[in-house]
Amino acid sequence: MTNAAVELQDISKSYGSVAVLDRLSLAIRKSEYVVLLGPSGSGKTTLLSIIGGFCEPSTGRVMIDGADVTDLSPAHRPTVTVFQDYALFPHMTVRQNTAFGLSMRRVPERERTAQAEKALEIVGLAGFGDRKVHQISGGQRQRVALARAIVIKPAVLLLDEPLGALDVKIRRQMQDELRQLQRALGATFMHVTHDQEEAMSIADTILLLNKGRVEDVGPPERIYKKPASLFAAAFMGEANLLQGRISNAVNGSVSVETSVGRIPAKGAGEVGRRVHVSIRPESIRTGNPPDGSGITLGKAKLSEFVFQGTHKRCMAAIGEGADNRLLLRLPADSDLTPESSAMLWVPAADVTLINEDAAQK
Amino acid sequence: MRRLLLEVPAWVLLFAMLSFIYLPVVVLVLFSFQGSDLPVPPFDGPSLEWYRRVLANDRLISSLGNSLIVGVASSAVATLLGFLAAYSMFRMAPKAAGLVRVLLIAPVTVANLIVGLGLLIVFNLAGLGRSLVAVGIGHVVINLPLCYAIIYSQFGDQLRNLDNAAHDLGAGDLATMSRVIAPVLIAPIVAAFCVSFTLSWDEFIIAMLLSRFDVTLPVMIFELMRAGLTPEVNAAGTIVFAISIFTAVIAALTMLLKQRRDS
Repeated sequence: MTNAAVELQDISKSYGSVAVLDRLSLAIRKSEYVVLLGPSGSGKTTLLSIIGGFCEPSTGRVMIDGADVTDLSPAHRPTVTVFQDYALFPHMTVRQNTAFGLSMRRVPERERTAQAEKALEIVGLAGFGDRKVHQISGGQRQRVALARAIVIKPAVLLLDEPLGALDVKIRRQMQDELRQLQRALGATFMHVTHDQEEAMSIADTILLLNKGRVEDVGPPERIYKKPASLFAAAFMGEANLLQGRISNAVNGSVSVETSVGRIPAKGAGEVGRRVHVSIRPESIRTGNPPDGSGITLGKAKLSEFVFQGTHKRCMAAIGEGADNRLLLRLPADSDLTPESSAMLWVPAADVTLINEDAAQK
Repeated sequence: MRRLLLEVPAWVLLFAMLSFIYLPVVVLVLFSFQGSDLPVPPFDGPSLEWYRRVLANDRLISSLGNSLIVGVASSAVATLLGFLAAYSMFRMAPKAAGLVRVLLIAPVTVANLIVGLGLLIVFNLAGLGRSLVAVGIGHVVINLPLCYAIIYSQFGDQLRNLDNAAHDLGAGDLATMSRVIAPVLIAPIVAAFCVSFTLSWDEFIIAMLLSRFDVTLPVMIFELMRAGLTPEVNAAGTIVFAISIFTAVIAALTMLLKQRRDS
C-alpha cells in the first residue's frame, strides 16, 4: 500500500458507550477525489476530523503518505481542512486570510502576497484581496476558504460539507470547479456530504458510510449499478429491492424466487438462502426483450404517472399484492398511459444480487 | 380608567426607585458646585471654587494619578490573565475544566475585606509590606474572575472552528491567540478592561488596607472627609464619578458596536 495517500487501519471512535466509527480500515489512492457519503450520524464527519487531526481515534492508526500521523497535531499533518462554516478570520482581508498559512510558515511577505494572489486567481477571486470577509458573498467565502487551504499545498485536502451552505445553482457550479481544481492540483481531496447526487457528480471513489461502518466503496457508477448492500442500493437513489430465496446456484449464477417470479442473477449463494435482488427503475424496459439478453418480468398494469422532465416515473403492478409493485422510469416521450398494461423486462446485466436479508438490518 | 389606576402607582414606584438610586449622586454632584463652605442646603452656587481647590491640592492630584496607574495596570493584568484563563478553559476538555472553572469564578464570593486582609498577611510574611503594587495585586485578585467570565462568555462554536483552522494552517497556540482569537474577541476584551478599571477606580477597602504613603483617590477622599466635610470632597467625588461613567460608556459602546457589526 505504498501508493496510498491516506490509509486507515482499524479506526474506531466511541463517545462513552456510543460507537461512532466501528473498526474501519481502508486505503485511498493518491490524487483521487474521494467523497465520504452517508446519512447524518453515519460517522463521516468524525472520520474526516480523525484524518485532519481534530479528533483522536479510540483505536487504530492513520497513515498519510506512508507515515503514521495518528499522534500528530493538525498543524504537523500534510492535510488542510476546509470547514463547513469556512472559518474565515473575520478581522482579516481576503488576502490576509489566504496568506495566513504562509505567514505561519515564515514565508517572506513579498512571496507570501504573490502566492496568495495566485491562489485567489486559481479560485476565481483575482482582485478581491483587499475586501473584508463580510463584504463578500457565501460562494466567494467558500472560494477564499479553498484558496487559504490550497496555498500551502497540502497532500490531502479535507472538505467538510463544503457546499452545504450554498444555494443549488452555485452548488452545481462549485462541484465542477472543485473537480477541476482537484485535477489541476493533483492533490487528494476528501469531501464529506450527505447528498448522493453531489457525491456521484464529483467523486472518483465514493466511500459510503452507515452507522460507523463502510457499506460500500468504489466508483460512483459501480456503486449505483451494483450496490454491495441493501443500504447502498437504497441510499444511492431509487431502487426496486425484491426479497427472495435462492432456488438454484450454478457456477457464478443463481436463480432467485421473488414475488414477481424467478429472476436469474450473477453471484454466489447456497440454495435456500434469503437474499435480495436490486433493479434500478430506469433499467426496466417495456415490450419484449431482444433474444437472450433480457429477463422477462411479466405483464404489468401501470399507474401513478408523474412527469419529471427527463422521464416519467410510474408504478407497475405484476399480478396482485403489494409486494409485486415495481417502480419504473419510462422515457419522457413514452406513449404509455395510466391503467394501460405492458410487458416488462430488464437487461440481465442490470440485475444485482444482494446477499443480505432485510431481517439483518 | 382601570389601566390608568394600575399605571399611576407603577410610575410612582419607578420614580421612587430611581430617586433612591440616583438622588445621592445628584446631591453629591450638585453640592460640588456649592458657593459656601458646607455641602448642605441651601445651594448657593454655582461655583467652581472647590474644583480649583481640588486641582491645587497636590496630594489629591497625586492620589488621582496613583488611582489611574493602579487601575490601568491592574486591569491590564487582570484582562490578560482572564483572557488566558478563558482560552485555556475553552481548549480544555469540558470534564477536566469543570473544577478549574469553579475555582476561577469562586473569588467573586469572597468579600473584599477578606481578600485585603489575606493579602496584607501574605505580603507581611513575604516581607513586601504595603505599597501601590500590593493594591494593584489586590485589584487583580478581585477583577480576574470578572474579566475571565466576561471574555469566556464570548467563546462559542464559531470560535472553535476559527481556533481549529488557525492551528490547522500551522499556527502555534501563541500565534493563534494573538493573531486570531484576541482580535476576534477584541470587544469583550475592551469591555472586560473597562469594567475592571471602574471597579479598581473606586475600590476602597483593599486600597485602604494595602497602601501606605502613596494612596489611591478613594483613600485620599476618605482622609479628606476625616478632616471635615467640605464641598472639596464632593468635587473630588464628582471627578471619580465622571471617570467611572466615562469608562462604563466606553465598555457599553464597544459591545454595542460589536453587536451592530455582527448583525
